[in-house]
Amino acid sequence: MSTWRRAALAMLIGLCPATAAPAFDALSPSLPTNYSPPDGDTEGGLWMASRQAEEEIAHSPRRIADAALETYLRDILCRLAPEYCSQIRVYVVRTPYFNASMMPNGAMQVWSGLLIRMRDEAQLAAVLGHEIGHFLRRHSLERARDLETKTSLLTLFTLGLGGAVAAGGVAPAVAQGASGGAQLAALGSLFAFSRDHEAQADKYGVQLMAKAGYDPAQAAAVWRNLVDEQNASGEKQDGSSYFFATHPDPASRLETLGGYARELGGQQTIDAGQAHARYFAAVGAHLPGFFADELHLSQPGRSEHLFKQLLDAKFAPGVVNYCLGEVSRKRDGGKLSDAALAYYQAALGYPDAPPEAHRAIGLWKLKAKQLDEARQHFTAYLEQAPQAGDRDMIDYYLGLTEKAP
Amino acid sequence: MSRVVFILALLLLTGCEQYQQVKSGRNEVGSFSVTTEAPIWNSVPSGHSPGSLPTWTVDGVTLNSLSFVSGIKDGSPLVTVHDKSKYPVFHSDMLPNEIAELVQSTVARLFTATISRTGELKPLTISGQPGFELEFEFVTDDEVIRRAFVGGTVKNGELQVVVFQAPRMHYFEKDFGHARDLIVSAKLP
Ligand SMILES: [Zn+2]
Repeated sequence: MSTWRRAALAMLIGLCPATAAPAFDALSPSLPTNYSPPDGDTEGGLWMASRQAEEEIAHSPRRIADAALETYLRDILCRLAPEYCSQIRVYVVRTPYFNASMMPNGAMQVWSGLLIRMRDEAQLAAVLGHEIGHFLRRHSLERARDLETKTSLLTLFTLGLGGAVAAGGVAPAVAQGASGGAQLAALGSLFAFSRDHEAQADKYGVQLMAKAGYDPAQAAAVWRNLVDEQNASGEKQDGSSYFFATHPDPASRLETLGGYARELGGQQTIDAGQAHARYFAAVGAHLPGFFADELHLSQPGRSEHLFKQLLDAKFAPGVVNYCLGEVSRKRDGGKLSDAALAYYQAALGYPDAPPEAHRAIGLWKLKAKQLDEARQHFTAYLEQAPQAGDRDMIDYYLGLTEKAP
Repeated sequence: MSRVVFILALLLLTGCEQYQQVKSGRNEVGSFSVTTEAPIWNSVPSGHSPGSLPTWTVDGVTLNSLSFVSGIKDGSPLVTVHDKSKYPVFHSDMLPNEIAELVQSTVARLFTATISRTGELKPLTISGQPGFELEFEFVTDDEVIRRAFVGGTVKNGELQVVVFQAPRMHYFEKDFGHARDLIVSAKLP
C-alpha cells in the first residue's frame, strides 16, 4: 500500500470511525524506533537473554533455513510495523504445534504447526500482528519489572531462566513438553503474559492488520478455527488445551476481536487472491514435511478436522487428500477401508499428488491380494520417487506380486 | 564421559543392584536370544528406560540405548506407558512400511521428537524370518539430532523389534557395529 493511502487510512481509523460502530481507540507503541537498551538494567538483561535464545534458535536443528520463507514472513511483519522493519528477524522452527513468539529484541519464531493452521495471509498477519503488539508495547519489560518486585530477576538470569522471560509467545506452553525446548516452554508458562497484555496485543494486532490493508475479521477466524479443531478432536490432554489454559477464554476473545473488526471496518487493500498465492508459494514446498509431523502426533480426530479444512480451502489438494487417506487408515486401526482408498485415489487426480499415494494404494492392494494393481502402483511409486529410501523394500513387494500363483 | 566414570556415577546415584553389566555370550531379553561379543552393555532398570522397555546401554540412555520390543500382539502399542491411548497400535497384518511408520510415530511421541529424516527401509532376515531393517533420524526436545537403527519381524502374528538409537554426532557410529551385529543375529523361539 502506498504511503499516502496508509496515511489516509490512519486518519480514517483515528478520526472518522464507521458511524454504526463505536470509536476504535487506537494504541500507539511504547518502544522507540531503532532502540537498543543500555546494558545492565532490566531491559538490557532481557535483551541479553533474548540474544542468547535467538542464537540457540538460529542454530537449532529444527530451524527451517529457507531464506525465501523467512523473507516472506518478514515482509508481512514489515507491512504491519514498517517503522520497526529493520529491528525484526524471523526464524521458522519445525515443531508441529500452534505457536509464534517474539522476543524483546525483535527476534520472532514461528512454528510449523502454526503455518499449516493458517488459511490465508490475513490470518497469518493476525497472529504476527498480535506478537508485534506485545513487542511494540514492551510487554516483556513490564512482565520482567513485575517479576522483579517478587524475586530477583538477576538470579533468574544467573540460573539461565532469563530466556524463558524473554521468549514468551502466543502460546508459550502450547505443547506438553514438546518442542523448541520443553523446559523453556514449561518455564514460559510460569512467566506467561497477563490477560491484560494478551487483550492489548489482540487489539493492537487487529489495528495493525487493518492499517496494513488486511481484512481485520480474519483475526477472529484464527481463533474460531482453533476452537473448532479442539472441539473436533475429542481429545483433552494435548497441546491446545495448554494453549487455552494460558489464554483468554476463546469465546469472549472471538467476540471482542469481531467487535474490533467491525469498528475498523472493511478497508482491505491487499488482494486476497494474490496474498493466497504468495502464502502458498512460500509455504508449499514444506507442506509434505509439516503434514508428516502432524500425522506422527497420532491424533486422528484433530488431524482429520485440520486436513478437511485445508481441503475446503483448496490447499495443496493432492498432498491433503493423501494425508486424509493416512488419517483415515490409522483411525480405522490400520485396516483396509474404502474411505482411505478413496482419498488416496482422489489425491492421484491432482498434479501435486505425492508419489506416496501410489505406495499407499500398492500396500492396500498387496494385502487384498490384488497383485496386478499392487504391481502397477508400486512401479508408479518407484518411477516418481527413484531416490526413495524404501526402494529395496518396494522391490521386495514387487517380487511378492510376481511369485504368487 | 568415560565408561568407568559413568558406571561409578551410576553406582553412586542409583545403587549397584539396579544397573547390571551384561555378560558376553548369549543373553535372553524378552522373546529375543541375542549374542554379545564385547562386554560393553549394561541393562537399564525399567524405571529408567524409555517406554519401560527392556533396554541396554553403553554410556547411559541419553547417549545410546538398545531397546527390545517383543511379543507385541494385535491392537497393542509398542511401549508400556500409562497414557496408552496416545500411542499408535500394531496390527498383525501390517507390512514393513506400516511397521516402520508405527516405530517412528512411537519414537516421535515417546521422545517428543520430530522425525527429521525418514531414511532407509530394506528387507532383512531375522531368525530365519522375513523382516526389515530401518534407519532414520529424529530431533529430540534437547535439540539433539539422533539416529536410529531398527531390525524387526512379525512372527506368529506378534511384532518383534529391536531399536538402537544414539546422537548422530559420534555416539551412533561408535557402537552401531556392535548393535547391528547383535540385531541381525538375534534369535526368536
Ligand atoms: Zn500473546
